[in-house]
Amino acid sequence: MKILLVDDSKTMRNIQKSVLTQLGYTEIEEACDGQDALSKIGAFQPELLLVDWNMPNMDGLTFVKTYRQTHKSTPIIMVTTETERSRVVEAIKAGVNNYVVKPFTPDLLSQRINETLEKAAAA
Amino acid sequence: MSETREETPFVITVSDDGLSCEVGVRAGFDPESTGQALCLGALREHGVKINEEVETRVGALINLHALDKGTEHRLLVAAGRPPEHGEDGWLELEPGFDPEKRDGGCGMTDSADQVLTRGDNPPAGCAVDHHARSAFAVAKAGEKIGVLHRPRPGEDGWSVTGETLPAKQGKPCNLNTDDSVVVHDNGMVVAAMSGVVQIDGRKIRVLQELGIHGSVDFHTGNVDFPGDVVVDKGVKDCFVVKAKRDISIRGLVEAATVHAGRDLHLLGGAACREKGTLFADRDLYARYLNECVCTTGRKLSVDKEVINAHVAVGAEMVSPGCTIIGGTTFVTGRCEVAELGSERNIPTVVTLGAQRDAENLSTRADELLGLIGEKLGKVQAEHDQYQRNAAKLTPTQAETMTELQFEIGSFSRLQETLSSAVSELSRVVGTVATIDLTIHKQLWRGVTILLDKWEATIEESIKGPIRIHCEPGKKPVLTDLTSNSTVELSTVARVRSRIEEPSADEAIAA
Repeated sequence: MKILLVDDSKTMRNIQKSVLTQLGYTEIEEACDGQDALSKIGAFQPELLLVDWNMPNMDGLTFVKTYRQTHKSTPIIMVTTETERSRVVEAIKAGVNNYVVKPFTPDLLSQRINETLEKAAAA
Repeated sequence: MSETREETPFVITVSDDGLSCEVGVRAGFDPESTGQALCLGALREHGVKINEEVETRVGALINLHALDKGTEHRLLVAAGRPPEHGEDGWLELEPGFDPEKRDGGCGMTDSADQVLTRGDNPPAGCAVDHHARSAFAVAKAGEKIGVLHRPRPGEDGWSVTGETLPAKQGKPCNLNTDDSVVVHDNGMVVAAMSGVVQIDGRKIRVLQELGIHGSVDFHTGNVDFPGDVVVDKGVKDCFVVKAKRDISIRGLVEAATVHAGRDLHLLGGAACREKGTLFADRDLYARYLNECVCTTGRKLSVDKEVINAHVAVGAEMVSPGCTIIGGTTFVTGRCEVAELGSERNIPTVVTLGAQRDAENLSTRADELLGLIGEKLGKVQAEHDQYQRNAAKLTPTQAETMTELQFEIGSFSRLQETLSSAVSELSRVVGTVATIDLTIHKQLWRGVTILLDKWEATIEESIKGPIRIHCEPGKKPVLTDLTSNSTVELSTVARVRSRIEEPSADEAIAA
C-alpha cells in the first residue's frame, strides 16, 4: 500500500514512517507541505494520506480541499495539534476520514491507521 | 596450365586450378561469320562449360579480332568460383579466464574503489598492490567462463569445366567437461560451482580444491577461494589466504593472514612475529604457533609449542605434547597441555571456561545497557514534565511530547532486545564452558590462571601430571594425577577473587 506523509517536521514524518514500517507498510513517500504533496500525488498515487494541519506554503486543510476535488475516496488522516471541536468539524467537512491529535503515542497512531483502512475497505 | 597453340586458330589456356580460361586468337586469322562458333567448339573440346556469359565474351573477342586481324588478341572468357571453406567451432574465453589474456589483475593502492579485477590491465602510472594480484582464475557458481561458437559450414565452388570444387566443412568444438561446467544451448559456458577454472585444451573443469604447488607469495598473490586450499610450501609475509572451506599449509606461515571457513591445518607451523592472524571457523591444527593471534571456533590442537601468542579457543584445546609459554590463552572448554610457562618464569596467562569474544560482547552490551538506561531515564523525566501540563501544551510542545513518547518506546524496545541477547549469550557460553586444565609435565612459576571468579598465580613450580578444575560456585582444586590426591589450589598457589569486594560503605548501603 502506498502512503503519503505530509508534515513540515522531518522528525514527525520519521515517527509516522517508523510506525507504518512496523505495521508492514514500506511504500512511503514524504512531502513537506501541501504544495509539495500536490506535486507528488500524480506520480506516487497514494492509497492513504497522513496530513498535518499547520504547514508553510499550503496548509493541510487547503491541501485536503484541493485533493478531494479529484480524489474522492482515498482515505486521509489528519495528524494535528488542533483540538477545537469546530476545527475538527471543519476538517471532516473538507474530506478528512480520521483525526489524530498531537501528542500521540505510536500505539494510538497505529490504531487510527488500522481503523481508517478497515472503514475504507468496507465502504 | 594447359595450352593449345597448333592446328586451330585459337590458343586456349585453362589455369591449373580450373578457375579461369583464356582464349587467344592468332594474328592473321579471319573469323568471318563462323569464327564465334569455331571458338566455342574449341572450348567445348577443352571441356569448358559454355554458358551465356562465355558466349558473350567469345563474341566480344571475335568482334575485336575482326577489327584488327593482323594482331593476336587474348581475353578471359570463363571463370569458376573457388570453394569457401567452413570454420571450425571454437571456444572464446572471457578475458579473466583466458590464459593468453590474463595478467592476473591487480589492486590499486591509491583508491580502494578502483580495484581492478581479473584480466584488467592497470592504467599507466598507477600504483599496483602486488599482494592483491592473483594468479588463479576463480569463478563463482553461475559465472560465465566463455562462449562456445558453432562451426560455420563451407560453400562448394566450381571450375570452368563445370566440376565441383568441394569446400571443407567446419567441425564442432567438442568440449570435455564434467558436472562442474554447464554448456547452454546458446553456447554460453558457465561454472556450475564456485572454484578455480582449469583449462587444458578443450578440457574445462571447475575445481573445488585449489592446489598451490609452491608458496603463497608474489607468484600467486593473495588467495581468496570458495573451496579448499592446499599450499605445498608456506605463506610469505603480508599475504592473505582465505578459503570458504579447509586450508592446509605444509610449510611455514610467516607474518600473514590465514582465514579458513572450516578447518585450518598448519603442518609446518606459524611464526608470525606478532603481525600474523590465524582464524579457523572450526578446528585448527598446528605444529607450533609463535607470536601470532589465533582464533578457532572449535578445537585447537598444537604438537609442540605456543609461544607469545594470543589464542582464543571456542571449545577445547587437547594438546598433550604442547608447551604454552607467554602470551594469553582463552580456552572455553577442556584444556590439556604438557607444560605451562617456562623455567625462566615468563608471564603466561591462561583463562579457562571463558569465551573471549563472548566476554567482550557481554562487556560492550553491559556498557550499552547502562547508556540506554541513562538516556531512557532522562527522556522519561522530560516526558513526565510535559505530561503534568498536558492540558496547556502549545503545538510545538505537543509535537515534542509525541517525539518523547516515541523515543521512550524505541529505547524500551532496544533495552529489552539487548537484555535478552545478553542472557542468550551467557546461556550459550555456559553450555560449552568448562574449567578443566590437565598439565602432564610442569606448571611453571609465573603462570596466571583465570578461572571462573578466581585468579591463581603460580608462585612455585608444580610438577605434573596434575589437573586443575573448579565446580561452579566453588573454589578451584588441584588433583595430583599420580597419587590421585586433591587439594585446594590455594594451598599451592596464590588464589584471589577477581570480583572486587564491596567497600565497607557500599556494604552498609547494601
